[in-house]
Amino acid sequence: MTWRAGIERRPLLAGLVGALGLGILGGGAYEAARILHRNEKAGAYGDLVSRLPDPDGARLLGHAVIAGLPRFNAAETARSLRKALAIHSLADVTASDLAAGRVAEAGGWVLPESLALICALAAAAA
Amino acid sequence: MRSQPDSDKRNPGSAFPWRASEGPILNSFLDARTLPAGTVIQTDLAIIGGGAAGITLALALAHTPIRMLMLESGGLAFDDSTQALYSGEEAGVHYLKLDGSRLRYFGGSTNHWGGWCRPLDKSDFEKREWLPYSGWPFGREALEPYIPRAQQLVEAGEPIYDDAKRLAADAPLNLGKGGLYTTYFQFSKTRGGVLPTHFGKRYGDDLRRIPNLDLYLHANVTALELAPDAGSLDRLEVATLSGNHFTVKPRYTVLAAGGIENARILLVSNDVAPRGVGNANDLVGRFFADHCIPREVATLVTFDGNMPAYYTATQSAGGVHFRAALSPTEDFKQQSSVLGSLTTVENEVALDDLAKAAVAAAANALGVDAGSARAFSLGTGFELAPDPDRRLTLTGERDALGLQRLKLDMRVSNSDFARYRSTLRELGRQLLAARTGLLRIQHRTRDGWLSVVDWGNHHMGTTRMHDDPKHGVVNANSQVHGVPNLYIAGSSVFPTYGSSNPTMNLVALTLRLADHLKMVMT
Repeated sequence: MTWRAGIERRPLLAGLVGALGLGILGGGAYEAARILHRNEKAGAYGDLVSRLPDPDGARLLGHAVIAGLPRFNAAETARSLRKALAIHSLADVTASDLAAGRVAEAGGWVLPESLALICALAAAAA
Repeated sequence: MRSQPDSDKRNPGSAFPWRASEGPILNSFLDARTLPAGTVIQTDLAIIGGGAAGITLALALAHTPIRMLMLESGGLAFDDSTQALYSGEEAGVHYLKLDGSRLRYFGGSTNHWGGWCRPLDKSDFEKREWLPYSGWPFGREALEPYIPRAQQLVEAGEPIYDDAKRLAADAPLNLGKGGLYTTYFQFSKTRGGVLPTHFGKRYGDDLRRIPNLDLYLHANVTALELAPDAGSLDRLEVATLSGNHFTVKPRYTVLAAGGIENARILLVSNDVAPRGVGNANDLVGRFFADHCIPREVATLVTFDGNMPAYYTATQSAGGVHFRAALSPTEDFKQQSSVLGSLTTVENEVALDDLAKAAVAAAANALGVDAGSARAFSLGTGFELAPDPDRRLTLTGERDALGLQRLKLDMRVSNSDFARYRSTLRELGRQLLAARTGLLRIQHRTRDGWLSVVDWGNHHMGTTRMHDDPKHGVVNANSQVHGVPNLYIAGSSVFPTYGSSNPTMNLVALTLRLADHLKMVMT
C-alpha cells in the first residue's frame, strides 16, 4: 500500500468544491463591498461615479471641470445623466456627445461632455 | 536663347532659359559706390530689391527685350551698417525688432528663411462675410499655373503636397470625420543638401548670365519721384552709404523690397503726393500681418502611442522633403468662422497626474486600451484677421541715408486667439471620436497666449491688393492704383494671408507679375 492509496477520493473532492465555493462567495462579497465603498465614497452620485475606473482621478478632473463651469448645478446634472445612462451605456453616451460636438474641458483636456460632468459630480460629492 | 538643360526638358511648360548653367557669365554685379555722382541711368524696368521677389522677376524676364536694372541695398554678404537701415520702433504686443526679422543684403531674407512651403488654400483668396477686409481680387486658380515654376525656384521638388501621404511609410493619424485633416509641407532644398535655398547664392551666377540685366549692389532707393501731375513715376533717387547719389529713370518700376520696406519707400516718397506714393486712401503700411507662432499650444496623446515620424520631423522620399501638419478643412473654416492654422507635432512630453487621469477616464469611456499611450507637444502658425490698425507709420527718427524710420504697432485680437482655440477644440473632439487619443489645450486667457507668442517673420499686407483703390494699394495686377508704371512684388500685396508660409506663394505671384509685364512692356 502506498501513501496515496490511504487518501479517500470522495472527501477530497468535496473539500475542494467547498473551498472553491467559499472562495467565490468571498470574492463576490469583497467585490460587492468594494463597489459599495466606492459608491459611498462618491457620495450622492456614487451610482454615476462608479462607472469610472479611478475615483481619485475623476475627482481631480472634476475639480478642473467645475473651475470652468461657474454655473455648475450638481443635482440637475446628475438627474440628466441618470436619465441618459438608464437606457444607454457610458460608451454610447460619450459617442453621442462627440458626434454632436458636445465637449467640455478639464484643465484644458478636451473630454466628452458627459464624462466631464460625471467627473464634476465626483468632485462635487467629495 | 540658350537651349534648355535636360532637367527642364522633363517638365515641359516650366522651363526657364536662366536654368542653363553652361553659358558664359556676361555681367559682373556693379558697385553703386563707384558710379560717378549725378549719373542718370535710363532703363526699361527697375527692380528695387534683390530678394526672393526681385530675383524671381529678373530670372523670369531674362532674355526678353526688356532692359532691366536691379537695385540691391546690400552687398553680397551681411554688413552691420546696411542692416542698421532697417531698425525702427516696435509698439503693442511683443514683436521682433524690425532690423532683426529680415536681412538686407543680396538674396534678402531668403538668407535666413526656414524653407517651409505650402500653397495658399482656396479659401484664403475668398471674400468671407464674417471676416472684414477679406478676399483677393482673384481666386487660387490664377496662381496655380505658377506654382510648379515657383516650386522649382525654391527647390522644393515636385509640388505634390497632400499627395505626400503616398510616400509615407506609415498611415497618418486617424482623425476620423471632422474639421481638421492631415496636410503636408514641402521644404526647400538646394544643391549639396544645404537647406534651404538662399536666392542670392543659388541664382547669383544665373543673374550674371542674363544679358538684359544690370545689377547694382549697395544701391538704396531713397525716393520714388512722381511726375508733377502724380500720374506716373518719373524717376528713382538712389544713394549709397558712402555718400554717392544717382538717378534712375525707368519706364516701369517694380518695388520688391520686402513686406515692411515696400511700405516705407512708398511713405517716404512724399514730395509730390504728401501722404506718400499710392497712399491717397491712407492704406500704405496698414494691415501689417505675420503668422502668430505660439509655442507649445497643446498636448496630444495617442492611446496606442503611435505617432508617424513625418509628423515630428521632416522626411525625405521621392525627391521631396515633407512634414505633416494638422489644418482646418475648408468646410470647417467656413462653418466655424475660423482662419487658417497649421498645427505641428513637436516633442514627446511626460504626463502629469491630471493628464493621466484624463487619459484613463477617456480611454475607459471609449473602451480603448491606453496602456501604451504617449504624449506630444504641439506647435502652430496661425493666421491673423486683417486689421487696419496693425500698421507701420513713419517716425521722426532718420536713418544714415536721411530716410524716416518706421514704427510698427503690433496687435493680436482676442478673436484671433479664440478662433485658433476653437480649431484645437475641434481637433480634441475628433481625436476622441476616432478613438485615437485626446488633446489638452494649453492656454485659455489672452495673457496665457501672449506668454508663448512668437512670430514667423512673414511680413505681409502693408500694400494690399484690391480692385478698388479705396480698399487696396495695388490692383489685381500688382500695379499701384493711380501710378500705371509702378508695381509691387512680394507678400506686402497679400490682402488676406492664409496660414501657409509666404515665400513660395510670393514667388508664384511674382511669376504672374512677370507675365503681365511681358504683355504690357513688349
